[in-house]
Amino acid sequence: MPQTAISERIYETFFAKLAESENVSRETLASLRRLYESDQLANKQRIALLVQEMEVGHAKDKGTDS
Amino acid sequence: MPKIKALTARCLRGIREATLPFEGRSVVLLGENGSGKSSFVDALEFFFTGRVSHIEGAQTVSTLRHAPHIHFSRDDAAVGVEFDQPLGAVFRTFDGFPSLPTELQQHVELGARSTFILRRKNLLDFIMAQPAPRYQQLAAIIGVDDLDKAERTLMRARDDLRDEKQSLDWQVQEVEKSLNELLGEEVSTDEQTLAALSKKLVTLKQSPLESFDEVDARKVALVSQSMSPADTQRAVKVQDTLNTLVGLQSDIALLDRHRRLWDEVEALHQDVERVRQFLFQQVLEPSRRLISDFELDRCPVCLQTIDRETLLTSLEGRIKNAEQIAQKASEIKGLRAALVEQVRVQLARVKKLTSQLLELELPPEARISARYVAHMKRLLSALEPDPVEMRLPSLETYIQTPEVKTFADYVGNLLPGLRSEKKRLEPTERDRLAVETIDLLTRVTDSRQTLSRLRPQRRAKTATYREMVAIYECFVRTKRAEVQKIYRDLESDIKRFFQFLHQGEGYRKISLEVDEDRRASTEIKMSFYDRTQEDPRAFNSEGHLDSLGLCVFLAFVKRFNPGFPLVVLDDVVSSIDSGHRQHVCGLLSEEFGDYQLLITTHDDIWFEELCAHQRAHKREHLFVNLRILDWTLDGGVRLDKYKPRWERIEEKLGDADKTGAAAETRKTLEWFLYEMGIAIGTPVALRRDVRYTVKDLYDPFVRRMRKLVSGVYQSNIAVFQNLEANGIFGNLLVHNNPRAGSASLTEVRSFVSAVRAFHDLFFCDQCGRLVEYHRSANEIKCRRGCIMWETK
Repeated sequence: MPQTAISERIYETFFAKLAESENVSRETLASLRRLYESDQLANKQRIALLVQEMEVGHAKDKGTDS
Repeated sequence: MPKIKALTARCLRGIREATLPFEGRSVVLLGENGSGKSSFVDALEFFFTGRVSHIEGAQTVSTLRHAPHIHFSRDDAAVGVEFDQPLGAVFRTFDGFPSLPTELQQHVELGARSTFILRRKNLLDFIMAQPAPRYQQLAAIIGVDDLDKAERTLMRARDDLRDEKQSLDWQVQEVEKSLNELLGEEVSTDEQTLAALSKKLVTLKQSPLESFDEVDARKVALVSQSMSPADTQRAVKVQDTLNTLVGLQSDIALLDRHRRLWDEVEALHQDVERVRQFLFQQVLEPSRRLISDFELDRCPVCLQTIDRETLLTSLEGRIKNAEQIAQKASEIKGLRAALVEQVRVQLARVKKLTSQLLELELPPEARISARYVAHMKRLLSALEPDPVEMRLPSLETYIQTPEVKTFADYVGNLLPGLRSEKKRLEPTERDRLAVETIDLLTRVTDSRQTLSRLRPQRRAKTATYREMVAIYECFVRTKRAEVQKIYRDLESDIKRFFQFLHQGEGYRKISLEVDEDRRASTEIKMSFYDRTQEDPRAFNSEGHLDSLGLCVFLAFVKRFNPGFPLVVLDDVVSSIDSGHRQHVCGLLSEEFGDYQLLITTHDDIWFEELCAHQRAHKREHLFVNLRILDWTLDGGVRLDKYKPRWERIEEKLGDADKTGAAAETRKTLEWFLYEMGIAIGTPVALRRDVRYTVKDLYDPFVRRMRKLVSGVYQSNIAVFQNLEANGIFGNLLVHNNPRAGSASLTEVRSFVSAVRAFHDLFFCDQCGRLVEYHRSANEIKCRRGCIMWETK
C-alpha cells in the first residue's frame, strides 16, 4: 500500500484516468490494481510477469493492428 | 484530538530502554550530536509506520537490520506509545501490533499515512539540490517518494519492451527485404505475395498458383516432369546449399553494417570518468545517504576528514551523470539486439550448411566451421555485458581474423564446385526452369512461414509496448499534475509562513513548479523586491533556504494532516539565526498551537530560546523541556528535566564543578554579547569564521552603550567593572589552562555572579527577551516596554 494518504490519492487518480484510456485493457488495469494493492507496483519481477500476461493477451487478440 | 502521554523505546537505535514523558504536552529535547535524541524520533516513526525511513532505500542499510540496538536483535526491539484515554497504550514490535481496538487502530493507520517528521537531512538536501534531486527531497517531505520507485519500474518495463520490439522490427524487415528481392516487387500481404509469386512463375514459364496450398503438389509435379527424380532432388539440394552459401558469404561482412554499435560503445567509454561514476552507481546512492544521514565528517573507510557539504554536492552531480549514461546504455542495447539477431541467423546458416553438405555427400570442413562459429560466439559473449562494462575489441579484430578469412575462403571455394554441379544438373532449359521454380517456391514459402511466425509476435509486442507507454505516460502525467496541485495548495501557506519568519524582508511570491519536460523535477521560484520568480538560491542565505524548507513542510502538515496533530522537527533550525528563530517560535505557537510537537536540538541557545518563549507567552504548561545528560552504548540515554540556565550553573557550583560552571557561564556571556551586539547595532571588526570571542565583542559593546545610553552605563558602572574584574576566571577555566585548578570555587562563583548581573541588566523577565535598540524611536527597550531607556 502507498506510503501516505497523498500518494494514495495520486494512485487513485492514476487508476481512474487509466480506466478512461482506450489504450489500456481492462485485464491490464485489473492486474495493475492488484499489484498496487499488494504493494508490488515497484517490483520489477512482478511487472515483468504482468508484461508477459499483456503480451499473451495481445497475441490472442488477432484484430490488433501492427 | 488524541495526544501522546509517553513514548517508550526498547532496544531501538541508540536506546536500550528509555521513556520520553510527553504527559500530553509538546516536548523540547536538547542533546549533543550522537546523544540519542534522533533515536526517539526514529522510535516514533517506527511506531506509526514500522520503518525508519532514513535508513532505508540504500542497499547497505535497512530498518530490519539497523533499527534494532546494536547489541540486540529484532525480537528485542519494541516501541510503545501511551495515548490519552480512550486510546490507551500499545507496543509495536517488528511483528507489528497486537490486536488493536478500532479507534486506536484507526489513529495508528492515520499516522502511518501522514508525513509528520522533518529531519535536518531533509532540509540540507533541499537546500543543496538541483531541480531533480530537489523534487526527490520534496517528495520525501510530502510523502510521495514511493511513487518514484513505481515510476522507475514502469519506465524500465517500457524501455525493455521498446528494445524487444525494435529487435523484432529488424528481423521482420530483413525477411521482408529478402522476400521482396526474390519476387522483384514489394509485398506485404499473403494475397500480394501470391500474386507476385504467380507473376514470377509465369516468367519461369510455369502456370500461376491459385493458393499456397498448391505449392507442395507443384514441386512434386515439377520433379516428376523433369529429369530423373534423383537428379532433380539433388539439383534442388544443390540450389538450397548455394543459397545458404550466398547468404553466408554476403553476411560474412555483416559486422560492417553494425559499425555504429562500436562507435557508440567507444564514445561511451571515451568518457572514462563518467563511466566510472556510472559503475559506482550502486555505491553512490548509499554513500550519499550514509554521509548525509549519519552526518559523517570522516570517511568511514579511510577515516580521513571530509568536507561533507562539498562531497554531497559532488555525489549529486555524479548520480546525475550516471543517469545520463544509463540512457546512452539503453540506446546501445537496442543496437546490440539487432546485431545479436543477425549473428544468430548467420550461425544457423553455418549449421544448415553442414547438414546440406552431408546430404550432398560432400564432406564438410567441420574444423573451419567450428572455428568460425567459436569466433562469432566469442563476439556474442563480448556483447553480453551491460554496455558500460562491455569491452569490445575493435571491429577490425572481428572482421580481419584467420577464422573469418579461412571461413570466407572455405565458402568461396565451395561455390564454384556447387555452381558447376548445378550446371551439370541443368541439362535442359526445362529442367533449369524447374529447378529455379522449385527453389523460388521453397524460398518464398520459407520466408512466408518465418513472417507468419514473426509478424504476430511483433504485433503483440507492439501492442504491449503501446499499452505500457500509455500506462507509463498516464502515471507520469497524473503524478506531475497531482504534485503540482499539492504545490498550488501549499503556496499560500508557504508564503504566509515564510513572510512570518522573514517579516519586512521583501518577499512577495513563492512558487513550486513541476518541470513538464523532465521525469521528476521541481523548480522553486521566489519574487524578492523587484526580482520576479527567480531561483531563491540567487539571493538567499543558507538560513533562509533552511527556513523555506521548514515552511514547505509545515504548510504540508497544516494542509494534509487533518486529524493527526503531531509534528516532529528533528534538529532542523540550526542554521537559522537567533532573530528568525524567535519568529519560528512565534509561528509554531500561532499556527500549530493545538499540535503536539517534538522538537529536538543540539543547540542549547535555541533550546533556551524555546523555553524563554514559552515563559514569555505563558505557554510553559503546554511543554515538557528535557535535556539528555549523557549517552552510552550500553546505558543508553539519561534524561533530565529542563532547568533554567542560571539554575543549572548554580547546581554545578553546588557540586563543586568549577570547570563546568565557568564553561557554561562563559558560553552564555559569548552568546549574550553576540545577541546584544546585534540588538543595539554594535560595530565590530568582522571575522571570516564568524566566531567572536568575549574580547572581540565586549569593548565595542561598552563603547556603544556609552554612546547610546551613557546615563544607564554610569548608573550601572559597578556591574561592568565587576565583570571586567572577574572575566579572567572565565578564560582560565574554559581553555584547559593548567592554572585553572588554582582558581577557587569562590572565585568562580564571583565570575558567575558578575556575568549574571550583567545579563540581567539587559534581560526582561516579563517578556523573556533581551532589550533592543529602536533607532526611529530613539529607545532601547524590551518588547513590552517594561525596560525602556531613551538614547541620545
